Amino acid sequence: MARHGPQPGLTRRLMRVRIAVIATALVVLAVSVAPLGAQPARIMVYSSLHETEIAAMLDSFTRTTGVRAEFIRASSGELVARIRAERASPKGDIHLGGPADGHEVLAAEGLLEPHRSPEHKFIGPRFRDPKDRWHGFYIGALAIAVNKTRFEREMRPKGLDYPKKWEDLLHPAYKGEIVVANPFTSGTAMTFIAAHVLRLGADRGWKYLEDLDKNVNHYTRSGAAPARMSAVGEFLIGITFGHDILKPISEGHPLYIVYPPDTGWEVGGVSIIKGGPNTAGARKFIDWQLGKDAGKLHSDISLRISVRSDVPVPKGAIPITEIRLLKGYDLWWVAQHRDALLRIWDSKFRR
Amino acid sequence: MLTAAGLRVREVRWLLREPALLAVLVAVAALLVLFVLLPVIRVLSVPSAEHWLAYFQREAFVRATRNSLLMAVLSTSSAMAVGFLYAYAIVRADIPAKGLFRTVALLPLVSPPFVTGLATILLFGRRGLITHGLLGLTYNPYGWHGLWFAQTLSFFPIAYLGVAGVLRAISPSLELAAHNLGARRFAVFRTIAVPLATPGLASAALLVSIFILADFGNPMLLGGDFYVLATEAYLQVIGRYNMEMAAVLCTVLLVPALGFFLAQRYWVGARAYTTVTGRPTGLTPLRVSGPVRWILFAACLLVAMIVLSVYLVIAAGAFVQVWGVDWTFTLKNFQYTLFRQRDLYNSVRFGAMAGAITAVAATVTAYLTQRKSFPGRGALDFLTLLPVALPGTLVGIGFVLAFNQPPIELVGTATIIVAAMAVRTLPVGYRLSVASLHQIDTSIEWASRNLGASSLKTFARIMLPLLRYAFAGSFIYSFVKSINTLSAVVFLMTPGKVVASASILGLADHGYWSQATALAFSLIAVALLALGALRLVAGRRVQLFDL
Repeated sequence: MARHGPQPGLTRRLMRVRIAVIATALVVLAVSVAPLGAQPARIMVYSSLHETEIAAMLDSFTRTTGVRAEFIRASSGELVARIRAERASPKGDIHLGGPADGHEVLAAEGLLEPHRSPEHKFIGPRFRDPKDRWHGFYIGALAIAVNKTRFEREMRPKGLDYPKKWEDLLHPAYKGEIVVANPFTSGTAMTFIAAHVLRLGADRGWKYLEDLDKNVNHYTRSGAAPARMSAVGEFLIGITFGHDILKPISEGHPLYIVYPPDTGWEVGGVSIIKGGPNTAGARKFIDWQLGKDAGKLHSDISLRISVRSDVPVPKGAIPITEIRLLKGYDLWWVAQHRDALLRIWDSKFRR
Repeated sequence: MLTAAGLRVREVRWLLREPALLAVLVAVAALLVLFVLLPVIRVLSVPSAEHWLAYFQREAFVRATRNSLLMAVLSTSSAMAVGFLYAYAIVRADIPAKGLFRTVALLPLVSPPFVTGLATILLFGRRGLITHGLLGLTYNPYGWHGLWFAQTLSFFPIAYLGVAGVLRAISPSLELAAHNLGARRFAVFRTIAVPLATPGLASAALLVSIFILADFGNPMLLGGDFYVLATEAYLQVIGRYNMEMAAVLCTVLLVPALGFFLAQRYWVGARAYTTVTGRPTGLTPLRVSGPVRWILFAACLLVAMIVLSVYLVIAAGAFVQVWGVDWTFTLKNFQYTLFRQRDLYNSVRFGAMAGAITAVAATVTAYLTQRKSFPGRGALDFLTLLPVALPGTLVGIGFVLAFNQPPIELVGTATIIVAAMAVRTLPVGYRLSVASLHQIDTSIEWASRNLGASSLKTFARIMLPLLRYAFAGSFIYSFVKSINTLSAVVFLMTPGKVVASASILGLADHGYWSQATALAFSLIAVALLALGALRLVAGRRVQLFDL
């Protein structure tokens, strides 16, 4: 412990260094506790997009409008829970990203602020709330990611071919090699379980998920994580939205992507949280976010397909018209049955 | 003779004579009650009977409890075994390269525990550099065994510190006597060294198990479907905002943690943070025989290599293009983490504030409890040390419950994050100050008092200058631990108030290995810089980690 008294061996130079260090520390401390000056207008963004995407978009928004933006990233299921929990004194202004059924749940509980945007005329009515409480800005479809390197080495010799349809994932060779997210935290996983219940009906849908569960290694927190895990070959197969798989492919990862027929899909939404700290700024954000320039910026960095027909399909993405979407997928139904679906999932799959 | 009541009256009368001292005392006590006691009380009082019923009925909760205890037992045993081996080799066996081994053991102490979890995935995961790249295995780290490994690696240095202190305190004379009477070396070790060290070892083990019980980052990264109480509580909050259920789980977690803390404090004495320096007897301890010495050396080398590989893989991840695909050198990962985001800046800012608060509060509280007598002194001492036993998850959830509505609405501010950090690190700063005070003779104070100075003036003019190194030590320790803390602050973050530790976890969770490792690397660099600054200022006079 501490010994006191002068240190005779301490040279003058070291003394100077010490003084410099102490001075620096004091300056750092002073700066860190200095009250920040007058704050320009800021909006608080809750977002489930990827960190780098959110940062790039908010930078652009601030440059365009002069309104500063702070964000926190979490999976969309987590954000729905958070906005519900903060209903008494909302801390966020904007809920950005995640399947629209999550936004619809909040809208139905009266937690979202309606906003009529001039950009609405460019967005088809299928992609937004008729009461203007949430606004779709991209479309995504569920896909299967397979690590090519591993598949060729481990599965091809067994005579297997890449999975084409949902039922192919039930093959016993994939035991412990599939990852998909947990619907409590992830909107992606919510879309996934709802899509099978709607595709096959409740009994057969849950039966499919139970059979698949035998092959699932574990349920991740984040919806996009399975794409990254299969990209590095940690697991052979990941199930998530196609754009989250295309991103690692564009970075050079050896992933095979397939959109099975009758796949679940999402309209990705953005909405204003009612009673947040800066609703005026939030309205500005919605108008900017639904615009053409923001749509292009977002699509280009995320490879998600914009709901606006005047935003080109980004290079490396697959046009939504080439994917066989599940016709019966109904986000309003999903929003209504969200809590019931979660209860059933919990009783069956909590390990 | 004074009766107890008479003594109390006199204490109060002394206090009233010094209103300034009384004001400080009341302020310190009020802050401790507000930020330590109140959150705990809220956690205990919020859940209703039906939440408790749900806890006993839900298999998932019972399983999480079992998992927590299992992990605590397993990892504490292995961390203690590795720590003992390491300490015995360094303190007693006089192996070569001791300095290197000490430095290696320091690394996990000053970096976030979940760095080990992150590296475990990269090194020993299903596509890990070592398991898959070198050995061609497909090992799945997600689950109890991967977690066990990471926890052993993360917490063995704490065990090592405790054991080394104990071993140094044991006088070699008994062992030499036994040896001279003809006992074999191993018999000496078994019948003398081990029994003598047992209370100290128990104390170290209890401390390690408190840390492992409460740890949240590693189970989050490596648990997979293996949930422990800390991660289950997190899921209840984040996935469902079921604060009551989360509070129940925290309470369950508090029972063993508090039990271990009380056992450690009242049964084996509090030696975990203050070092026990043995009276130098002038005898050199019994040397282990040559082959044993080399076996110990080899074992330590293996441990040190594994620890070093953890930090090397973090550095490697931070500087390569795409982990696992493109190994070319790049700085681009730092672009995002350092310049696009304020997370690291926030960590440093909040950590510095928490450090300042902890250093001041610790020094003042230590002075009060060690040098002044007043009613409730024991309670004040207990409250200051209590946060050792409080799992971070409980502190975080308790803060949300206690400060999310008027009169004290702090959720969403920087204040609440800084307060949580300060509370978590207060006990260690307090112990440093207490130990320093013990080395200062009271006669200096009496001299000052006799010359007419008040308590406060004495403290400011005499004690503070003497305590300056303990103060600097508290500040740096608190800073380093605060920038690494995760479980307490993860519930308190709002947009613009995100800290690096939580960002690392989020990025890793999302599969952004490059960014996660770059941020982890930066955070470790900041911690090492802070320690370097302390070394420059205080030289070797403050040993935060008595290696």
